[in-house]
Amino acid sequence: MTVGPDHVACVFYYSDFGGNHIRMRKSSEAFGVIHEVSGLLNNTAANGELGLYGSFRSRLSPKPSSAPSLPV
Amino acid sequence: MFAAYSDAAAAGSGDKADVILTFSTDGGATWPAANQRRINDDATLNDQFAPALAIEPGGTKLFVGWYDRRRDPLNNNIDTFGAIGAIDNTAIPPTFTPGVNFRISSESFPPVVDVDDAVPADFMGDHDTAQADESFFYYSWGDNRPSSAAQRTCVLPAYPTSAPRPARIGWCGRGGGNGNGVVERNECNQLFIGLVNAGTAPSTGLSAVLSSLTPAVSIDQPNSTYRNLNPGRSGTNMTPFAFTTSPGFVCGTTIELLLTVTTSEAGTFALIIKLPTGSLNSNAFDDVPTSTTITDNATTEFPLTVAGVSGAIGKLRVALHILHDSVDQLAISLVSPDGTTIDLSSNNDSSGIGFGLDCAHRAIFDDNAGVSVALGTIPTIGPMRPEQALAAFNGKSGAEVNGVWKLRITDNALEQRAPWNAGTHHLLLGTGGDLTPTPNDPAGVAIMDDTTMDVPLDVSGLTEAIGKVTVTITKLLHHRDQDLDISLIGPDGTSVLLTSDNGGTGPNYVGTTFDDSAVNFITAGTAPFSGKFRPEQPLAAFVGKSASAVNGTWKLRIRDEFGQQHRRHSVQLVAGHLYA
Repeated sequence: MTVGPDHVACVFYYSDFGGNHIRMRKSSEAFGVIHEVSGLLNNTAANGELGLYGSFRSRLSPKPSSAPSLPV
Repeated sequence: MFAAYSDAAAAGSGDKADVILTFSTDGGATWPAANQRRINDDATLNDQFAPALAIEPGGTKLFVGWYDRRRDPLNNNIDTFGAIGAIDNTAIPPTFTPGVNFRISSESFPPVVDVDDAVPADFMGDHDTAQADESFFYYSWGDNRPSSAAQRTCVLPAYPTSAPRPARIGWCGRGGGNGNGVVERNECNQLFIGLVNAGTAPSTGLSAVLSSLTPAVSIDQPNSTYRNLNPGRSGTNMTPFAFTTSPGFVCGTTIELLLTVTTSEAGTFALIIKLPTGSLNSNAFDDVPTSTTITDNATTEFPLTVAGVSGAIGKLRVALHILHDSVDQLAISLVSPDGTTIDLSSNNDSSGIGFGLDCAHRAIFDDNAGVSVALGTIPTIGPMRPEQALAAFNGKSGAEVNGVWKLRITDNALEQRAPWNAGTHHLLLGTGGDLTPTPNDPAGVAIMDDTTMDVPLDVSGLTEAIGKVTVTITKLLHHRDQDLDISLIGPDGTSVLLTSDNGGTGPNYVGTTFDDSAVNFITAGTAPFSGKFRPEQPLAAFVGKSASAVNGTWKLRIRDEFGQQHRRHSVQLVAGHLYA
């Protein structure tokens, strides 16, 4: 998650509803509205697993950050 | 608002993971597809994953760090790479431009899992993270470099937010520089590097020292001062820096320089400067020898005529296809028209059966390859570094180049030995041994649902350390391969995971050989698995184990993870090969 300069907390997450996506919800909307971040991803595996060589987990977890000077 | 994640490239590309950054300019309400940027700038199909990002408080620079396998042709060893992009919040709407990639880790490291009992066995890189203040980016990552005693080192390098502006190249009029604004071999160039004060206070007392991180590039004039810079202002070095490329410098490679900057307010910090260079003119010469026979216990030369090369050699690569049942008997060298001889490979890889797959898929010798032909298994196709550097030919021109080159092959054994994969289990270097197959029971050994079973494989009589291990499953019948985890366990308890949850709902492993040298990964294969595959964990974990740790009972451990299917599964024959 990240908190913008307007004190709005935004939670990013992986979703496999209707295909693999990165999505986001905001505290200013009581986390009730889903915002589509990535669109439909190329990766189609369960849990967004990238399936890389080496037996380690490599899932599609998003990392967000807020720029203090962008419109919010 | 920004978000970074890993995603596969377009379907069919073969690239499983790129680092993608996307941004919203309306507080996260919309994330247009046009705002998505691929951050890794490599031209490989290797993996980039586990991104971390941070934005400096001024909101104009964004750092992304990630795990990157671009340097390993086998797509296994990992480095950390980073990029600093520019946010223009004066544009309407604001824009983001990715920065050039730079390597952060000083040593590549393999994936390592299942070390810490406190976390799940398959976690690696889940908590890599980045932060920023007014002056620096900070990036930490899980690091498994072999030279670290701890195997899990947290490293915190600092990258100043005051990234340099693009450098300008001039001509210093010495050493063959031609003033065309492009860095080429054997010339001297002036360099002007702009600095931007990204802080909030004036920067005074600015000076900088330039050093080279690139072989074949030397610094002629390393010192300069800069004028004082107010916040947001930029300036260029008062005295031109100068550097020289050697005759052996390969055009087309990126020059990396280190600029150590000192200011009265911020002290000393370092910036990495990357310069593009000119490109090589490509000349390819190909020939099919009139004689294709390699004679036992003799030296055979295959000529190749080169003509029409007008400049000096900047880089040379060799591609070849050789079929031979014991490549460890071969010494292969390249001889130029002036008699310069370079050893490409001498008696390497006891398990190899040739170089390249066919004439369309040849093995490539390249000084810049990540794998040396002398350090282990010969890659099926390559590229690989030769035993001696092909750079010895760099700088040659005229009659030194145009003429008859020779590929010289010496077979130093009187008799050919049978290929290792002929099914007769020939051992290539003395004292290897076979894992004794399980009984070839037509009914097989039953694999029960939701159960782990061990298939014993007995080894005895070995006197030397292991050089290589392969495992073959002749027939394993299971209606849904994704239920299965299969591991090979040595007598000393060393365990290597061969396959885990692969194959989806497809059935069976039939004629499946696990071999670190295989081209295809088991994770990318489809059921029924048949042929050679690279296992999930390298079988090289057994390499170097002494005879005392090898002789005994090995186990092929098969775990069926799901129960109550009430179907009969079986494994009929398992064989392995140990090469000393």
